[in-house]
Amino acid sequence: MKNKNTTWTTRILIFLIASGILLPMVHKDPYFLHICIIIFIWSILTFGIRIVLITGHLNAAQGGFLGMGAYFSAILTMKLGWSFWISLPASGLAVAILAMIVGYPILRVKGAYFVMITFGITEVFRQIWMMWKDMFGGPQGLFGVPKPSPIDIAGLHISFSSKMPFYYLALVVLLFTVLVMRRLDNSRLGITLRSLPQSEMLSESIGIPILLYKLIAFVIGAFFAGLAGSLWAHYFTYASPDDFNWTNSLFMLMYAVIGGTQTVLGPILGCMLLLSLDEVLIEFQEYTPIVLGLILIFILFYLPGGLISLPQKMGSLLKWRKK
Amino acid sequence: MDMLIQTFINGTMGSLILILVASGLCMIFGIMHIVNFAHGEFYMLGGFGAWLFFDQEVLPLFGPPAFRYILSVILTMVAVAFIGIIVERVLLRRFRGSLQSILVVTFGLMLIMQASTLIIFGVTDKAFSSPFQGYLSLGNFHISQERMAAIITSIVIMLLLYFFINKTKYGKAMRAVAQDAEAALVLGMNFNLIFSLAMGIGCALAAVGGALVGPIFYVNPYMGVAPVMKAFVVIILGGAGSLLGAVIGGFVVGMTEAFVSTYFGTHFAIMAVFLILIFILLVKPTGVFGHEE
Amino acid sequence: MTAGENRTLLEIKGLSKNFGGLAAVADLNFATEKGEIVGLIGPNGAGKTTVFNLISGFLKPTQGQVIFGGVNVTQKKPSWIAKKGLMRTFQANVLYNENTVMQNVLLGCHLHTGFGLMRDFLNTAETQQRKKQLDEKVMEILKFSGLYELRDELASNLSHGHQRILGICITLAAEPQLLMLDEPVSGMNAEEKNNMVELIKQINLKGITVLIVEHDMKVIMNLCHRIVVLNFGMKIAEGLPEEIQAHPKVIEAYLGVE
Ligand SMILES: Nc1ncnc2c1ncn2[C@@H]1O[C@H](COP(=O)(O)OP(=O)(O)OP(=O)(O)O)[C@@H](O)[C@H]1O
Ligand SMILES: [Mg+2]
Repeated sequence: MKNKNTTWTTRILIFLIASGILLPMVHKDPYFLHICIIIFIWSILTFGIRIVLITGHLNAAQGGFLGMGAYFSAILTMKLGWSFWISLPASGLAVAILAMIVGYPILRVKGAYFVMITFGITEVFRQIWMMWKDMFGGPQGLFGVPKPSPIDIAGLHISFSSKMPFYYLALVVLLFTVLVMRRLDNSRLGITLRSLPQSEMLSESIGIPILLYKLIAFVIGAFFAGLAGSLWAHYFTYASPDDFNWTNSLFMLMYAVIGGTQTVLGPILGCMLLLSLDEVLIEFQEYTPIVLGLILIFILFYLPGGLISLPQKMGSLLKWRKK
Repeated sequence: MDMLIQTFINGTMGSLILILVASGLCMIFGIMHIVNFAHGEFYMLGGFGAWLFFDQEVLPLFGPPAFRYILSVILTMVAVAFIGIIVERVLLRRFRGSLQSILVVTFGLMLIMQASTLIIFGVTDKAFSSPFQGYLSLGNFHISQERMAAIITSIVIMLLLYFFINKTKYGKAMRAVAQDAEAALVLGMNFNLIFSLAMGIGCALAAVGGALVGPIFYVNPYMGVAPVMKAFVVIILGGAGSLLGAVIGGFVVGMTEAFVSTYFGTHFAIMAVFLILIFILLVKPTGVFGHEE
Repeated sequence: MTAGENRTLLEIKGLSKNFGGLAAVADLNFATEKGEIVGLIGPNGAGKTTVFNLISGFLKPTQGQVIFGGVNVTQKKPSWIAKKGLMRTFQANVLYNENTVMQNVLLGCHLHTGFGLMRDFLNTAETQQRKKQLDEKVMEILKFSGLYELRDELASNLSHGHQRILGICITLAAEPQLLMLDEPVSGMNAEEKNNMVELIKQINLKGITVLIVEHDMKVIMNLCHRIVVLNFGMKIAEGLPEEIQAHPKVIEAYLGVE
């Protein structure tokens, strides 16, 4: 049963990746590419919140980490003149280090209190960006973040002034994320992380350093938020404090829950469905939150495992019919 | 000196409103263990209720303006309590045990409530004035009657709440459930009724906060977002489930905000509030008077 | 006497724990030697589980010391104490319910496999090798305990008896020197009890010292080399099974003579 599920996940994943690579070749519409890029960036973020979610913590600091990634990358390229290609990983690492410092004391806090403390952290970050004008540009944020510098691969000169190259860039970062997360899921680390919320008492009694594992998950999540932030800043070419508030963390949570947290497909499906829905409903913008809210409630009521549990659910429904 | 007193008055009003909102949240959290992200939206509904009943006169209320205003506030509380009870029954109750589901479902609710009010009433801020106009003067120091009315109403409501919880049968039952749900279950208490009561009163408290603030500032679909965050800080400060804690926490947060924003600016004020939150949770991971969840 | 001291594995010195006004454990002294099976008995509420919690670090003693393998482990964290080779099971079934039996035991191996973050991640030949070794270890424990057939079941789907065995398997995977069992046969039928007694004997034969709390006197008398009796947090008797059976204070405590 379990194996069958895994192979299905793999097949769908391969299908998605293949279409991700091929689609822009047939459908070059910049608007379409734009939406895909947004979906990719949000998927990376959602993966980051999911890895902490499986340890039983709802990390509302993810929105703040996204912002920190964006600001770091903007500052590194604009003020220090670094190339985007260095500032991308550097932002990931910087945010990971930040998460290590922040995470160590706060990961003792549990449940609703953890949600609140991480909300608080995002909010404190935001006030810092707004107050520290010289560094972060104040309430307006930082404008004129450069697009990634052109690169030459195999004799090809790629410039990032158009959407297509950025599409592939975001796709590559997303693929990297999926690869890492999939490995993680199937490794002992993944099993250990998922065991944490089940019984801390048992884990402690057999010598599992709980705090350390939670910190690892928290830092990994933050690393990917940092990468996503860097992409964000260089795609939109600005970093503004209004974009990185606590509701972002709730949107990530929403995508993760709607997609389902059991397998790596969940975050991608959640982001794909809800973000493209945003676009479909663009003419009825004011109705979008209502539709989102209703979908969310519907999923929680009838599909608590998220979209990825749909086939299973259908299967059991069919079986039940046959009986 | 004048600025000091003025800030103190403003802080008092801010604190009292915050205390109303926070005690509602506190009640819902303490009794049902529901972390209600949409609590701010009930506050927002309160603002719209006062606007509809008093300013737009959707019901043919009669009498002098002050009487009509008070009637409007009461009507608003009842209506919002009713909405809250339905929401709890239909949406929230089944997710009570799961923090993740509750967060997600109340977030969904928040989106729906904000967008619906936006669609029905439009984006523009609704400004209206309460019947209490003019200033009370004490020497060279003035306070608007509007604010005074808000302060007095808040105090009256908190006293009523205190009386209800400590002196009435249902209030005592609610306290029993908050303290020890299992024992209360054994004693055969009617949980359905208690939950409905808690949600109704909790939402009514948020609504009265919105209704009192409405005429002083303005009413719009997003007015609930900031107060609910502060209310969360308050109940963590005061301890989940403790009303006295909510009162103390409300004053700490409200006064901190008023004084820091007057003397250092609003950004510092928000930061100060959240730094208090972070500090408290670091020292005591379950809040000041909290117990393991 | 020096030779005897070297054989001491666990030593409890003047251990006390107060909950508010209640003295749950009061000035408790006893020791276990390597290779022994020691019983810790007493009426309900005598403080047995509290003693386990104090030894394993889940509670901090009000007074007194716990010396394990010559090291003072008082005031240390549970995971630190576990690392020294002191494991305990719980009075209730505490398992990773959403994981399979195999994964439960695998998690128990953590102490001896460490993180292997990078290694697991890169999936080198060495990782494969280690993975195989680990799987073998898990399978061996499962065969030893009789849970092998159930290895792919979720822990929550096991019967109560199997769940209690799985609880012990997890600790076995962590390779304890001293294993503390809190009521291992509670809620079991006669056959399951016999199997459990056999299992504990087998565990002891592997050289693991056992400290066992149990209400079933047949099991205690059958297993234990020595017995410590608690009542109201105080030690009222200590000795060989036969001595304890005939001890007037013990009989009094159990019959509840006022
Ligand atoms: N965390 C705690 N807080 C307060 N009192 C406690 C706590 N844990 C145990 N007690 C009290 O300490 C006493 C000893 O409890 P303990 O669980 O150790 O008994 P026990 O011997 O294991 O009993 P049983 O055979 O029923 O398992 C009891 O009176 C119990 O109520
Ligand atoms: Mg016990």
